[in-house]
Amino acid sequence: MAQRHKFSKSVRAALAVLIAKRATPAARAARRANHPVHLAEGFEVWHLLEKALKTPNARLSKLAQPTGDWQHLLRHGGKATEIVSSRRESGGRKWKLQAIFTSPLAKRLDHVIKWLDHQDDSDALVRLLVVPKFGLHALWIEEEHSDKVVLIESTRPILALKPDVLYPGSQFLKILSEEKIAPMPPLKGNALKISRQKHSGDPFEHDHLARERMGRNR
Amino acid sequence: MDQIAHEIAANRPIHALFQWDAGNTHVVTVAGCFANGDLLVLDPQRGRGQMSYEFLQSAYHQGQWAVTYYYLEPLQHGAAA
Repeated sequence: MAQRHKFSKSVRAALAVLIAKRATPAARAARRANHPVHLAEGFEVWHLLEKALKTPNARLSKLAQPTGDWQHLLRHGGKATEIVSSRRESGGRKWKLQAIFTSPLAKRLDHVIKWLDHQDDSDALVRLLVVPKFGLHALWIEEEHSDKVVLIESTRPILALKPDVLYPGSQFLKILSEEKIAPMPPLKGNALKISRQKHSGDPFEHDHLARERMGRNR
Repeated sequence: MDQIAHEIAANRPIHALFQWDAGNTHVVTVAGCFANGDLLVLDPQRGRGQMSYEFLQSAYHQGQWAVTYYYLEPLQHGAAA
């Protein structure tokens, strides 16, 4: 496979300590069964936003944006079941762990990594490309003169994009730029709807309706 | 954060609606709090995870946590949604 980012021993050790503090029940069970938990591949996360899809002839490095986040695969007991999200702290030396989750994405990512190992032996850099508009995750192989992309998964199905196919970057962008999203039907249910004003950072900012309701129910 | 912990302690998970920068939205359930302040999140896209409050506030750095649905009541059997 093309090159994954090589983390230094000290970074790997720091991440391992953070992960150990937040081990999922599955990882804890693996450790109890003497199955080592491996911090496997790590990828820099880049976002491809909707406005970038309007210029599908450009290189991905011009269109996508680095997020500062990294995603790592955890393997234990021969399986990949967890994804870890990390970020370098502002000073650059320390790392912080933002999330660790048991996800079907881990299994798909593991499959794509193994598939890519058999397809591509270049030394190009591999990144994780996220397209929020489609909930799409892909591996992006950036070569000197071209890009290649392979789909990991997409929340919104894109029929023209097949799994286990290495797309030239321009073709991948063309497919996405031509994809139309049908509007979602309105949500139904009895959940309390709170005013959708600009948010200040406090998720309970618009809580007056809830307070009234809580008062009635006491 | 205190109010989230209050809801969780009362066995009432909350729902967080994310407004993605891409324009669409997404809802996750926050079902628990960890001692270090992390939250237990059930996300139909990502799976089940332990996440920092800051990471969640920024909708995984893809937008913002825009709306909170809380004091959720279970649907009555037979009631129309």
